[in-house]
Amino acid sequence: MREITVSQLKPSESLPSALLHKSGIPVLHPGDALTEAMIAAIKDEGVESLFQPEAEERLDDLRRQLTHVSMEIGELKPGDKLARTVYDDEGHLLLEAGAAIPKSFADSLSKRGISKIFFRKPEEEVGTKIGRKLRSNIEGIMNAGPETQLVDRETLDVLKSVEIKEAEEADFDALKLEAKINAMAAIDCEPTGEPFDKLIRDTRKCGPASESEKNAFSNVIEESLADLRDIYKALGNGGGRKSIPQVDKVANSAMAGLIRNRELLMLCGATRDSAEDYLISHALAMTVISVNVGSGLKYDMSQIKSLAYGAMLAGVGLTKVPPEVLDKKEKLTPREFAEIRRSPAYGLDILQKVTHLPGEVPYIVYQCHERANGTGYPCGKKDVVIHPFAKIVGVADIYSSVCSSRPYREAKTQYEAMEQLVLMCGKRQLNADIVRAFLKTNSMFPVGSFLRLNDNRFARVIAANPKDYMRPMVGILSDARGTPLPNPERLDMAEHKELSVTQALARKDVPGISDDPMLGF
Amino acid sequence: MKLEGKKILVADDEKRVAELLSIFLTSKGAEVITAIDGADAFRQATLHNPDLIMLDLNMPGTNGMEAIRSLRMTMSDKPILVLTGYCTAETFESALEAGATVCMGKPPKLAELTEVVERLLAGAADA
Repeated sequence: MREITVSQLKPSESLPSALLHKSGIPVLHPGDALTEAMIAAIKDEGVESLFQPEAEERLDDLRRQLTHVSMEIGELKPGDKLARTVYDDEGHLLLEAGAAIPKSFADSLSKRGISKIFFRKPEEEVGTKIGRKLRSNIEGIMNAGPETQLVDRETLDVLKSVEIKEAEEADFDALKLEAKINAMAAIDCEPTGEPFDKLIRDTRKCGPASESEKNAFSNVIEESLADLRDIYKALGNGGGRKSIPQVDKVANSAMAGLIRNRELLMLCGATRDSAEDYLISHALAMTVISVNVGSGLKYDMSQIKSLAYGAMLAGVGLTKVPPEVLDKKEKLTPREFAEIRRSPAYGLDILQKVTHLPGEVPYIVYQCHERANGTGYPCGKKDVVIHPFAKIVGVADIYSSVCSSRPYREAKTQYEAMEQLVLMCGKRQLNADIVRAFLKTNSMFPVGSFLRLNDNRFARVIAANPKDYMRPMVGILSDARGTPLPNPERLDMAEHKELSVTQALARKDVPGISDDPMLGF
Repeated sequence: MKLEGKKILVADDEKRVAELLSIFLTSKGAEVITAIDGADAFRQATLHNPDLIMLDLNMPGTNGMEAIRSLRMTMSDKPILVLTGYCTAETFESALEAGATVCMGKPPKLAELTEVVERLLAGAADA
């Protein structure tokens, strides 16, 4: 029998052996998954430890050991009175409670080949009630379906109840919005309240993510993609003014993901290369990247939420651009490009019918293709007259589209996408402060990238190093000969100055690694 | 030799210039990596971690000035030596403003170049 304290319990996809409560009731069976939620449920019942059978130990023996005390028959003293009735293995009554042990009792037992007798422990010690309740709670969790909660209920409630300042209807009219922007000398948006990034967990100190955490992330991402499909569908349907509740849900999920595990959020959400569902994957990527960058720029919760709304809706104008233009393999004709340039105005037009959108949304949708040096569209505005949130979403848009495969080119690596952003800063097309904020949380070799190090080992980036963009935290995937390691080994390159990155690779160029999308995390 | 074992990145779209610089620096014991334009220079600098970057300003695609600004985003303390045919005060000033450490006219006098390179490498080692 092995006793495992609750603090030692770790989530597992498939338990090697059963876990029993001290009442002998199995809480989980071999092969069951043990999730974070279950561990929390065990703690909630005030249970301090659980028990597991040793390799050869029978479950029945373990149960008896837990619920009974044993006594060698040599220890039986004739004349002692029994506090409880004694039965044999088959339930036959041997001696009634209160009876004195007769002299011949021990002898007759040993004649029957019995060397030990068992007394059941008192009920308050066994705790059958707690055991049953625990089992039923665990069953409840098992039947509750996929985990989709990334933060505790309280935090989620806070996210849901964030107040946003609604947009003026006139701002969704491209001409009126343009006139308003033309009259401004600069568009400011300073961080105001408590920075959202204070809530974000520092995963660099947390060790590898648990299986249940990873599952929860992939479930939430799938759910958000489904919600985005609904949102884009609802927007395409026309009709009168309406509110689309899924917009808030997707924003909350992205923010909850950021709080729980920035790296997993970026890994699962920022680079989903889905050619057939490009606009949806791209909308999710823009949302995830924008909230990440926005948090690095110290915006508060309400501002981050507005940014998330704008990011997920920024691409909606493209739904009005004919697919033969959007997916054209050859260079666009001036007429076709004019159609693309009109997409921000189409976007405003579509969103005009949606209620409860924050004031920043029209600026984001209309200006996210402007470039800091005036080379963008639709108006060719320069840095100071581009809304900061539109600049953030613009950076997210470029990054995500470079990482996506399009009919006219293959997907590039995340490193190449980051490189493009930095080169665009050099050309003053992008605002350097925004790209720097992205570098700080995603590194020059972005989270999830595959690398070759100068000692020839393959590695994967698992977290950025905010002080040195070239030295992220990595999971080592292979030895120096390229032989994959069974378990990736975490290593902080900041603490290993002798190591540097010599190559950024696509996943397919790293030989022999498993196809687990979250490998190394 | 002060250049021995040092890694130097030379970025020039004129192959002949890059080759000559490369031969000269190699003869002094340095390891030389070459790049053909600003974007290439940025990538080579990121993946080879050179001790010194030598850049021409006038290159196609991403020019030297743009490359310096990009390099300064990710590597703040690496010495960048600009070699340019446009030796005006204005050009030098904007290159320094972009983040170059030193600017020199092209073609450089080899003795002078050696001295500057050695000084920059020594300074980087101090830092």
